[in-house]
Amino acid sequence: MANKSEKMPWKEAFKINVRAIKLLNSKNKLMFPYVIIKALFNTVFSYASLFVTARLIGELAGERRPEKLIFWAAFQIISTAVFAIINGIMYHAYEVKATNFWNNMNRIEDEKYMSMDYSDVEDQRIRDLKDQIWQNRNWSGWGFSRIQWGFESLVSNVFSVFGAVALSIGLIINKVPEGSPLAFLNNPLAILGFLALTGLCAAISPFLQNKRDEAYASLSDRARLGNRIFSHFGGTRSDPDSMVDYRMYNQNEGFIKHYRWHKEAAPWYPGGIFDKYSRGVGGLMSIGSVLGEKLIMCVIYLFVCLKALGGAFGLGEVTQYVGAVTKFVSAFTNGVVTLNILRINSKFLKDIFELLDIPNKMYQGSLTTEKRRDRKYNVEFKDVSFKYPNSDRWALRHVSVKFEVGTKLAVVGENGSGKSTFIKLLCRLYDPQEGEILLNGVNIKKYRYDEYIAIFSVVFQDFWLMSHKLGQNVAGSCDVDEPRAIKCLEDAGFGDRLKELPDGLETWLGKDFDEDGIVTSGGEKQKIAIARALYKDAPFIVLDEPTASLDPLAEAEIYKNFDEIVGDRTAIYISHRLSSCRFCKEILVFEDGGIIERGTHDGLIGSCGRYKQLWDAQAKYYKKEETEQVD
Amino acid sequence: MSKEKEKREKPQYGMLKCLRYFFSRAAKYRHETIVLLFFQILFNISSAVFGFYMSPMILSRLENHSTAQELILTAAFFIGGCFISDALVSYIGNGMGVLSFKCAYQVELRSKILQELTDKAATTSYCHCLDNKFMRAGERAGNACTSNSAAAEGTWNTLQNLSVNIVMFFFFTAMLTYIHPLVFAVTVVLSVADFAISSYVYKYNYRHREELSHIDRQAWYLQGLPSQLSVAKDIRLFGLASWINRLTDKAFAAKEAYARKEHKFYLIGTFSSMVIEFLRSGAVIFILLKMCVENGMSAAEFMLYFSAVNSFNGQFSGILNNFLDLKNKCLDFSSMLEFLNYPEPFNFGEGEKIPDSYTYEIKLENVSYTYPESDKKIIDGLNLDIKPGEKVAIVGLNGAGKTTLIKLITGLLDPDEGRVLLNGTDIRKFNRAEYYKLFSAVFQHFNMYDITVAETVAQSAEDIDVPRVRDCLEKAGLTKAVNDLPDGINTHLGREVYLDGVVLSGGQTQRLMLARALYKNGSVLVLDEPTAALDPLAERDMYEKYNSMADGKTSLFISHRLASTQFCDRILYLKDGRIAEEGSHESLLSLGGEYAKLFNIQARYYKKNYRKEEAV
Repeated sequence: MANKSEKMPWKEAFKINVRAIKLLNSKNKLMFPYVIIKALFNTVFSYASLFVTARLIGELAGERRPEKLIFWAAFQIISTAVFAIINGIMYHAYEVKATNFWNNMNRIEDEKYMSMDYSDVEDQRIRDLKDQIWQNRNWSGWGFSRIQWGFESLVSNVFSVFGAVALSIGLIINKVPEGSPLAFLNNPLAILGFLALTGLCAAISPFLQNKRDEAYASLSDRARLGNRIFSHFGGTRSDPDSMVDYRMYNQNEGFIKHYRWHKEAAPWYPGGIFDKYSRGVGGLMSIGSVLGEKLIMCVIYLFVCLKALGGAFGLGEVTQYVGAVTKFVSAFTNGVVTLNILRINSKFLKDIFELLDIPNKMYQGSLTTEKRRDRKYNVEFKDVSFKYPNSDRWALRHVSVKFEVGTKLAVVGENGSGKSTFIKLLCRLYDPQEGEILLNGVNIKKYRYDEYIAIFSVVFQDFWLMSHKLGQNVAGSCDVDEPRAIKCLEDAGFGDRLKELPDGLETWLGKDFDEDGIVTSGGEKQKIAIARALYKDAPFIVLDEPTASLDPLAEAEIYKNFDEIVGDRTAIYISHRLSSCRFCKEILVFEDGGIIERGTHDGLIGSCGRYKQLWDAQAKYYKKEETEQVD
Repeated sequence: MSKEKEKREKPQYGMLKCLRYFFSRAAKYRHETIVLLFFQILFNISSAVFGFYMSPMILSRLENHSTAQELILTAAFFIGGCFISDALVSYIGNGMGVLSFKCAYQVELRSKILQELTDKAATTSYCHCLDNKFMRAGERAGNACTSNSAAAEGTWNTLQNLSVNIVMFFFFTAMLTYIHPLVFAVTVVLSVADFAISSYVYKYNYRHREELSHIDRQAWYLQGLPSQLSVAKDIRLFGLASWINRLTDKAFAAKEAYARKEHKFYLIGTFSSMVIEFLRSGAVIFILLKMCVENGMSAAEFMLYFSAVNSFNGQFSGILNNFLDLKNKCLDFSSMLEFLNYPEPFNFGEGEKIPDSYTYEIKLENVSYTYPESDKKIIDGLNLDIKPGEKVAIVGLNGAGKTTLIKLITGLLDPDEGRVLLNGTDIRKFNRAEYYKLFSAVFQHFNMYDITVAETVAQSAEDIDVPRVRDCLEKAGLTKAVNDLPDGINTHLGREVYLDGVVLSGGQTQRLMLARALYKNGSVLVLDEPTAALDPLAERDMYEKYNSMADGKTSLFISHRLASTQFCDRILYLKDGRIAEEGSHESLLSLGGEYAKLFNIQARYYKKNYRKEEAV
């Protein structure tokens, strides 16, 4: 993450902005060309109007010929109308082009998140980077969003500078008649003095504004902790579950208020860093920059009016020159300020590109897995060890295990013993640091990533279903093979509910986007997730704690259907409820990142190890009954 | 139908009441905001007046062939006046930027108003969480505090602009009438027409708000999904990227199609404004030119009056727009007042004193409860008597009413019929907040914050009894896990706020919530599925410690794991909102009813003769 208080060199800043504009323009087709055309029309219109008004005033102050007056007035009114229409059309066309600008900004990140290695998605440092990008964008507007504004501002100010120069050339060229006491204004030195004075005053305002913008960037960077605290503790969580704890534990009075009004949480309140700055240096600088603007007006009026007084030109030209020079100064000021903001913004762009440029380390394999009808895929862990990024602890240590094709395997162990990590390595969400995992004898890194992952269907504990149509959720696609989806839902035990749904597979899950959408219980969601896994029809199926939130009947139903669900696939079942071990052929017992026992239920009970201990802990309540009944 | 409803729904509080509320909060928390508003109005007006006269006055000096000295004095006067006003305006802070000193007061005031809303939400009768009307008012009220431009802060800006507009409106009205009554008449008529047409045209989004919000929500829903861990995993394993991409393309295309329709319609507004502007400036210019030619009006005067006409139009639409804006903001305040003044069915007054005791008897008499918007009684005529110190287990299938029963007992919900009695007194007679203090509860869902471990256990940021925290962590089996954290009990939880925070696993969180309940040391222990995320050893550990945790107090225990209920004195089997079976584990088994059936379903997997049974 880039340090925001150091300035980026202009060249680098230019490059990174060009890159960002190219990227944004590729997502928002033609948006940037539209900006240029729009700005061009705007400039032409505003200077044309200035020019015509000046002619009208000139005529009024001079001879007052009626036909001239009518000509210029009509010209003014008609041209205004024509330009208003052209500008309106340009504006609305541009707004349509820019509709999805904000969405596309998010999408650029989302697309990266879909393609990057899973280990990076989970990497805390990258999550922090993403949060920072998000916070800077939403809380202070830094990042891609500044470019839309910056580009437009820069383009129109450049046009404006050209327009202003064109309309104010006469100011220099027209001379005060010789003999006038003000003829000294014709002296090149006087002109030079005027230009120098204008330049000097023109520099005051952008200089101070730049200082303020830089201060704002560094203050908002410092304010992020306060922003995070406020957004975390500031609002009200109104869901019924949070409301329970508010009452039962008096959370609002207990600690929420404390954090909410914490000193760090209040960079914007009176006495905070923003306030101190804007009362002191910041406030003085904004007064200074107003002073700069007014000094310029003095200089401009003085020079233009004195020349007019000397007889160099009439009242119409005075209006034109004052208008043009004023516009020149403001375009110049705004252009400089914009440039500086874009330069500050480059630091924030750098963060975004740091995220977008994270390389893929996993997609280097090229082998294709052979499509085997007999599903004979042998997977083997050979002395595999693994640590999570940024952690010193081995999550898995020296794990060696070979899966027999078509076997049903239970994985048990205490919380944190490495079960989930094992699954993540198996389906290549992570690569091990030591040892290797083989598919039919070949290291899995040598296969194409998508091909390897295609042989696994996993129902994670925290599986995700989209607020969308049931059928598309099962298929994971817009194109649904309907008979297959129905069959999978039936196999997963969702058949009865499906029959009740008038819209069948077209039924929406949840009421977010369709009032007729259905609300499903935890058990039903689980069944839909299992149906999705079946639809994928992969040779391996992994179920991670599928019954944790189910009641005994629903659990028994999943157990009962397990064989049908799995069919001839290789199945791995992770659960804290050891009852599930009874219908699995083989059991792996994890502890401290290693497999400490492996065998059948009867075998492991016989060997009186860790498994028996776990089993007894749970079974004793049920077994007591059994012995009593036997007695 | 919902459209009509919304139209008919009038705000409960009028504009005056709303503004009175806003100003009363300002006076209470940050009276500086009001003073600064006054000065901003003043300085803005003086800046506008100086600015308006500056250019025509200087030109008229030129036109009248004044001396250079006069010219310079005039310029200095107007530019100087402008400078002083603008400098003051910009020092106090114009608009809604963060870098201004009035903003600090305004933001703090907004935050105080939000705090009032939070206080109400955190204490209001729990049944309101199920009341859509209350929740909608709360959501709208909350949204009115979310940004600098929202009602709780943006109203300052609206009031400032509106006041300046009104003053300047009268200023320009006087001037236009002075020039020529016809100029005034033309300007007013055309301004009204312009406003009427544009406000119809630009309400396009309002008229299509349902379509628009549907389109927007679909696009927003898809944003940010791929970075969520659970989604990221499924995207990879099920190849969902192309599905998500196609849906995103569709959602974006729908937004663009809508925008195209919208902006095509706006062209009507562009065109009508153009025509009106054409007529207005046409008429005014020709009237003014006529006056120049016939009455000898000067060029400087022409400029002055011409810009007065343009400015008048701006002030006029400014008043109307800002007034509409203020009206909308008052709708937000009305929701705020509705929310804050929502009547409380629960007793939050003095109430009877809760008897001081180590344990309590809890009795339910013929209790029924139906959730709003449901027609099924989730609890139906239930009677229950829990003796002091009794350990009760509640079992039943999902949807049997277990959690609802607990919510009735803990006073989160009040029964529709029947009574809940604590030591013989209807709990409605007690102060409800005091009543909540009796319970140490672990529900299935927790409201966690990114605070330290110790603060989480104590649920307090100050006066934490550290030895007791350690003791409770020990009882919950977390001592080792907490000691392994970088800062022990002072480690921050979660990563939303503190970058050095840690994320606990599901099992650890569940135990931490248990420690929190123990620390509270209430007289009634309530545990709702406390072992769902625990491994077998931790689960057993918990059961074994249960007696010492309950420590002779009344306790309630909900579980799907029927085995876990055996250490309770009495088991209630809930079905269809009633107690279908009750008694000890043994007696229920010998009864051979639904409990026994359910138990056997679970138990068969743990029996030695499992295979044989399966074969049958």
